[in-house]
Amino acid sequence: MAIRALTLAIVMLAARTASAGSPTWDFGIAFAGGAEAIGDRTFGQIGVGSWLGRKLAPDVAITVRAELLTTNADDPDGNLILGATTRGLVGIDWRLYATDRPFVPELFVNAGIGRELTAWDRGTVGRQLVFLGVEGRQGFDIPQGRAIRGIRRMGMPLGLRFQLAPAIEPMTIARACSQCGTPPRARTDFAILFYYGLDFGR
Amino acid sequence: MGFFLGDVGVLHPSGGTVELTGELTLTSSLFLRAMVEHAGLTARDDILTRPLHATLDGASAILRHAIFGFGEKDFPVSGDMFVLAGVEYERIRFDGEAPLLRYEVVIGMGGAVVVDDKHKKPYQLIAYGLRWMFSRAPDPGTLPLGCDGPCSMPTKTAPYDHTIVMELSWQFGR
Repeated sequence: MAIRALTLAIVMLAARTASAGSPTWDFGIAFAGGAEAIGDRTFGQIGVGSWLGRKLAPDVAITVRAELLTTNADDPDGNLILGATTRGLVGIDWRLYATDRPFVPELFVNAGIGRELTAWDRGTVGRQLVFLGVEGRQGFDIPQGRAIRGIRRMGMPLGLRFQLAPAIEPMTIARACSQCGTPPRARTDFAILFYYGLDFGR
Repeated sequence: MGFFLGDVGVLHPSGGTVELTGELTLTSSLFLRAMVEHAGLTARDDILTRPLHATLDGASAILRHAIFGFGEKDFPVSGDMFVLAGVEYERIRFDGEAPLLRYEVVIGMGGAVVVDDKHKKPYQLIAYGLRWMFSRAPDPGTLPLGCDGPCSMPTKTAPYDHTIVMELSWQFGR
């Protein structure tokens, strides 16, 4: 009953938002780079991300994101460990600061959950994650009926995101020990991602 | 024409492609694109004792959606930025080996410049962009299961192949 009421409230809120003047949908693509701990090693990451968001309230949108990143690090012998990370995220974008002035950044906080799969040449690691981020979006409204058609706003988001995921067993193997015990294990892996791209509102 | 860079199982071939494309306008912002392509590829991975050559032949059906367009009325130059989604069926054959046949999911993005002088037909379209293609990786056969990085599931190879093609095309239409 409560879930039905909540769903109905979200649908009605979304419908009302769609009739307001500002863009209802926002989508874009960005270059992304950062680092992620997987096991006992930290990997550099670089790639692309894209998103599709729908406004639920004047300052709140629900957004789905997809990312494809190259994940790499050197092992202690100098060999390259190279893989690909695919992420799917869903979360809320909350606008903390809004402005009508063109090119003055609006400030957002993003939070949500997701899942990632990192695939090496052999072997994979898949896990759930949670994220929290901040984002600034510079943009401008596009006058309707003029030279640019099909979008109502264009912007350039710049963001920083922090991510937590369950840790996996470390790769490091003890080389010698007299009374060997289980190596200490971090319970959470941390990741950070910086992105910059283009955003369109319709 | 384009440049192909991607995975075929444990190999990472690259090379140039040539493409033949036809496009049908469905609505003012939606187009159905049919394309055939041929690529000459070379893999130079560390596991190979010498470069391995391959040919790729593919056919795809792709929807192109113009997310926004630009251009003034009565001015012959206009354009749009678009996203792509579709399916490709490809045949990859390495030297001396049986061909690999598979379907791939295609997504992409790009831009197009259209020159449409009302006094001259046909109009011309120059499109540039990227295509990403994803498919299941082929079984590498006798390679053992393993982890080449921190992993929770050992496998013989990465579970999927992904490929990127950067391309530029020149089209005519009416």
